[in-house]
Amino acid sequence: MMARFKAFLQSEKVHAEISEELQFHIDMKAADLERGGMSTAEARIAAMKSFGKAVRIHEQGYDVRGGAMLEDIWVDVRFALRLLRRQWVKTSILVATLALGVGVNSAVFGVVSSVLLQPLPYPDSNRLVVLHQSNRGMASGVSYPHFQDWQAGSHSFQEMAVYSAESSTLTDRGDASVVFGAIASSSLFRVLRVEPLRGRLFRDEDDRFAANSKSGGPILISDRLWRSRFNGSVNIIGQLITLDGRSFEIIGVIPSRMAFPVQRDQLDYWKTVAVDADPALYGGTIPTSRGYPRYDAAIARLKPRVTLQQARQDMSVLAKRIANDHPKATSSNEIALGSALDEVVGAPSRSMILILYGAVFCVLLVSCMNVANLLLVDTLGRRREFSMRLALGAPASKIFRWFCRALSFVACHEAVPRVGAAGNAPLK
Amino acid sequence: MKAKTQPGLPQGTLDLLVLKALSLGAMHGFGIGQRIQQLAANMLLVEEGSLYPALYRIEQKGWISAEWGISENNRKARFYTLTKTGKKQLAAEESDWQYLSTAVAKVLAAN
Repeated sequence: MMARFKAFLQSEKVHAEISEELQFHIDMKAADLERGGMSTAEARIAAMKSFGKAVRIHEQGYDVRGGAMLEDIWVDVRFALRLLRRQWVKTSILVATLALGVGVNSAVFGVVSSVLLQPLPYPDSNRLVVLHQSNRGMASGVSYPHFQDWQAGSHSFQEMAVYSAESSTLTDRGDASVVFGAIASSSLFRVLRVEPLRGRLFRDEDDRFAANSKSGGPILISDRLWRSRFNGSVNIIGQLITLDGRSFEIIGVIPSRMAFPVQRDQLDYWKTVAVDADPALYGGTIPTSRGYPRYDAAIARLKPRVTLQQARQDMSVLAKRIANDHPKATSSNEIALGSALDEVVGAPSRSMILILYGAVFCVLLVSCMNVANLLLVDTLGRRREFSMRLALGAPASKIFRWFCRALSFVACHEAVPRVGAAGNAPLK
Repeated sequence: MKAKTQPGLPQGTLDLLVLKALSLGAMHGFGIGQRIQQLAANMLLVEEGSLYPALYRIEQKGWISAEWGISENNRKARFYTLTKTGKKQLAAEESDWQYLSTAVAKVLAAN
């Protein structure tokens, strides 16, 4: 390919070289014939004759030595441009039609891909399960003692964590601003299989309240917050951050792709459940109160080869046992389980999106059909031109090529507005 | 872009002949044609219409390389030389040809 390109750039030179080489051959042949007894003029004519196809040899030689292909493309491109400019109305209709179809398609595909195809940015996210306490089908939050019972008493999960979303006011390093975060048990990151960019994750002992701690406890911050508020400082670990007037010690930085376990919010910090054990909050009773569903939900990772159905059975047995052990604690004694993916998308919106995508795909088909019709009409109109070209000796393959090149030109024109439309796709 | 060889000269044979001719030393296009004709005791005529496309094709494949030089009668001419890969190719094609022609001869010798 490189040689072809070079031949194209130096096409003058290649042509000249071939001419010179062939001329040399003719001269040599003429001299040879002259030695054989011909007159100079005769020999010259004879040599030229045997070289009758000199022009063809030249062209073939040029073909083989490279340039022709690229030169042909260049000719075709100019031809297509001329054609499109002459018929600019038709061209713009073609471009607009295709752009509409493809643009809408890419925009909706953006939604489909982010919502349906990769909704949770964690490894094996289809093994993630969300659990709630529930009462006759009405789901509620989860109390910490229930969570501990589930963790200890279930057989279907590798890891389980509780979490709760919250927001705080960040007051140091720049203007005060509201940041969103979560309170979660230390196991959350093991459930999601998220690794820190810097520092470490929570350890089990971080879940327990340390009364003599100099700060509010350990905290993990997002990559985004680290860059915006701490300028990506290398010695971020061990620094303090002030949220709602309390300072927390930064122990690690988490990749920003880690959205909240289930909802698709952008989270900037994670605290452990230890903050709920502070005696200043309800006298420190939250970790032991069965009647207070402090946490939004629990999330767990299924053990290999355990199905959601098996996990449901496992948990319903456990739910009955807990209800027997603590009959008066709460009326939310059942356990509701669902796949985390469903929790994110929700089954109804999933089918809505697919229907939308189907409709948009039909729009694309219709616009393709319109374009095909337009081109067909156009081609019929050019029938005379094509028969003329064929009669004059244009190879059929060349005419076919003109078609393709002109079409790919339309397609290129169309790509520009499409990129624009896709760029405006929501969720991106 | 098919190279039309002599009637009876099988496809690709010209390449082999060109490589063989060049294995005797660098030569320009005209000389290659002459050389083949001489070696074949005038039983083969190499047409210009096949020779040059073949030369360019073989050059593209890297089996021969070309350089401008001065011919025996003091004219500028394009001289072709066999490259290292060209030598290998020649050896391979030669043994292929021997094998094939022996086999064909055996078949034709049957009565």
